[in-house]
This record gives sequence, structure tokens and C-alpha cells, in this order.
Amino acid sequence: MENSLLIGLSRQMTLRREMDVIANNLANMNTVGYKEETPVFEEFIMPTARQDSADSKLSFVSDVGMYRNMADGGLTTTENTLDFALSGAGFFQIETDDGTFYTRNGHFQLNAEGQLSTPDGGLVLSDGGAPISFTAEDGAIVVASDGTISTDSGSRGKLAVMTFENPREMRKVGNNLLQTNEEAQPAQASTIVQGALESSNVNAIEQMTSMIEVLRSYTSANKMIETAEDMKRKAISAIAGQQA
Amino acid sequence: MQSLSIASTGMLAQQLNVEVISNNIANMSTSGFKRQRAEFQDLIYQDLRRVGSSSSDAGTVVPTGIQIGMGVQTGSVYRVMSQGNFNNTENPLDLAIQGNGFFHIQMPNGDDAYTRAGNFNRSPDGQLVTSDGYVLQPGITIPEGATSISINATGDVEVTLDGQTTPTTVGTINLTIFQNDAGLTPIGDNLYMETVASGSGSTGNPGGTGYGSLLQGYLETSNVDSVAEITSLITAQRAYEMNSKVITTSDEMMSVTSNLR
Repeated sequence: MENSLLIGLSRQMTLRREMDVIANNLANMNTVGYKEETPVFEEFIMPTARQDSADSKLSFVSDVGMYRNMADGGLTTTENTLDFALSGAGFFQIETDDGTFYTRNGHFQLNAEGQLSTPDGGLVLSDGGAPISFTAEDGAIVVASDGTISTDSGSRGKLAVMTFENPREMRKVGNNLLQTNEEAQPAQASTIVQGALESSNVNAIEQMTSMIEVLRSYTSANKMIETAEDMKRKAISAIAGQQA
Repeated sequence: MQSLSIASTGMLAQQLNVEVISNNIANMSTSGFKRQRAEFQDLIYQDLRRVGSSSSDAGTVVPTGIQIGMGVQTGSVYRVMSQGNFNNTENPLDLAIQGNGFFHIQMPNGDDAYTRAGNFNRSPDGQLVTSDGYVLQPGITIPEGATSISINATGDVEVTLDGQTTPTTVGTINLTIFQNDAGLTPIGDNLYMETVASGSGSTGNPGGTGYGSLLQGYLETSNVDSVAEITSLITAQRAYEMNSKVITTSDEMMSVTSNLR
């Protein structure tokens, strides 16, 4: 009898986790370059107590992973010269004191030395793996769709855009940055849009409906636990009543 | 339940977003105002099942682990330094900068401040000052009896004195440019101050390489686009609402659990 309690509990635990993921998706609805995530659940078959028993196998639920939707988000124009949106697969390469990171967030600025950097101070790398510097006299900065940077006083290299065999394997570390041990390849099929940012690809309607679904499933799992407990209570009182 | 605190970071972020948008809208008609934009980042992640950890003795690895995000944080509120429009005022002491650069202003306490708002006036002793009476640097004095003032694109100030036909040059207005305009800190009254992030300013003549040119009789309007602001206000409000729904739902789930007994 306890099994039905535990199975219900396993469902409730995964639903709570799903709720956390939905909450994070909705919290990051306006985060530049954020990619929506979905938890992946799997059936876990519990072996029966005896091989030859007539018991049916028990099936629990467990969460095994997360699926990251890598589809492009929409473009938001900001008119800021140093905002870049990536369309197509690929990541900008960022160098920080803690190592190399990758990001889809193309909101950059210049630091006091005139180097292109993220708001946290990480340096944006060119395809040659070096930081990109400008001087105050450079005038207008123009970035072509392939990432080539030109100013009034000449070319300043090309923004590095890297792709990976399996971008879902990349670890999120916060601050819109991702980390990986995979080998980076220069992106072939991506274009850069200057003066725009890639908005997050969270589909709010889908998130709201799955939130309702989570709540309802949670309630029904609860009903199951309640019923199982009810049965137990009745059994105890019936048996105790007969003995008396 | 973590979803409660995750959603509260989402609500806080949207609240800040609305604050930034309302400041932009409030300054829609402020000359030389540059709109701001809030930029958000995801918070740290909790690794419940690490990507790439081995899942069997045969050396198979977990292809996509479980990482639960902890919500959202504000990455930066940055200033978009794009050019505003020009508003014709026909006032000879109104100057608009077309392109890069700031007017250099001396504060009463001796500090240096910079502004894009070119609505200058004359002080009692003829100096060019801002509407608060702070002196434009380098100081330019319009002599008494000047009948007309002309300021050209490269900043030369020429006045025609009463009874004379040839104009006299009384000085040149300089512009200051910064490595990183967005790093300047605003101090109110349309003024900005230099910071470590902006780099130190370099001063030069308007129209030089990297410097904007001046336009007399015009003021630069703010670069706030009201339609864009209102639409982002709607987005922010909806995002706020949805995050509050997450809190309600989490609360409901918890009450379901506590009603078990």
C-alpha cells in the first residue's frame, strides 16, 4: 500500500522541479539571449519483490535532464552601436579572469581602455582570439553581418562567433554566460545585426499553460496520496473494530 | 519551493524595468537627454545533475544535466548614446551637437561636468553659462554692445559690435569626447561626470576627426522614442503579472500539500 504513496510523491517531486524551471523561464522572459528550458522526465520501473509474483511492475517518475530550446529569439532594436544580435547558431566568445565563456547576449560596451567588453568586464574576443580595442577618435563603429568591424580610421578585426557540436551540453553559469569543454568551431551560417539584441525565446503562453498543468497534476497526485491514506485509515479502523 | 523566490527576482527585475522606462518617459522633452535601458542576466544555476558526469561504468556521460536557474538579476542599466533630433529654437545661444562629444562645464565647486544640452545663456558679466549659471569651458565672454552672435560648425564664436561691419572672434567652443560615453555618471541637471569606466576625456575642436560639429539655433531633443517606451512598458507589466501568477501557483501547490492532513 505504501507504494501508491511513494509513486504519488515521486510525481509531486518532479512537478515541483518543473515549477522551478517554469519560474526561472518566466523570470528571464526579458533576459537578452536567454534560452527556454524544459525538464525531461523518465519512467523508472521498480522491479517487483519476487520474480514469479503476479505483481505488476511499479512505475515511478524521475527527472533525468533538461532540454534547452536553442531556437533564435526575436530581435529588439535598441539603436545602440555596441548591441549585436546573433541570428542563427553561434556564440560570442568572452574572455574573463576565470577563463573563456560563451554568450548569446550581444550587449557590449567599451571599458576605460577602449576595449569591447561585457557589462561585467569580460573582454569580447575577435576571431584571432585577441580583445578588440577602439580609440576615442575612431568615430562611428560599423559591424557588418559577418562580424567585420570597421571604423572611420580603419578595420578593427572581426567578432568571433563560435558554434559547438552539441550546444545543449554547455553549462550555464549565470550572467548570460555558458561554459563548455567542447571544441569551438567558427560559425558558418550566422549573421550579426548591429543595433539590436536577441530577446529571450521564452514562450509566455506555453509557460503559463504548463504552469496550470503542473498545478492540476500536483493536485491530482495529492488526491491519490489522500485516497491511499484514506484506504489505510479505513482498513485500520475496520480491522480494529472487528477485534473489539 | 524555489519557484517562489525565483518569481520574486522576476518581479523585482520588472519593477526596475518600469522605473527605468518611467524615467525615460518623464524626460521625453528634456534637451540632450539620453534614454536608458535595463539589461537583465540570468542568476546562478544549481547543478542537480552535472552535464558530462559519467552515467555508467562503460564511460557513458550525461548529455544534458539538470541545472535549475535561480532567477534573474539586473546586469546593467545603460545609456543609449544615439543622436537625438534637432529642434529649431532660433535662439543664437542654443547649440546642438551633431555627432560625438560633450560641452565642458565648470561646476561652482570647481569640478568638471559635461553636458549635451546646449541651451546657454549670458551671465551678468557676459560669460556663456548654462541655465543654472555654471560656466562653459573654455570661458567665452560676449562683449557688451554685441549686435549679433554667430557660432559656426567648428565652434568659433564671432560677434558683430555696434557700429562695426567685420565680426570679431571672441573664442572657440571646444568639445570633449570620451572613450566610453556610456560610462559617464549622470548627476542631474543634464550634467554628467567623468568616471574610471568612461576614461579621461580628450578635448578638441568641433568638426575634427571623432568630434561632432555644432549647429547654432538648434537644441538636441531627447532620443526617447515614446512608442518604443510604451510598448516596453506593456511588456514589463505583463512579465510582472506572469511572475506574480507563478507566486500564486506555488502558493496554491503548497496549500494543497499542507491540506493533506
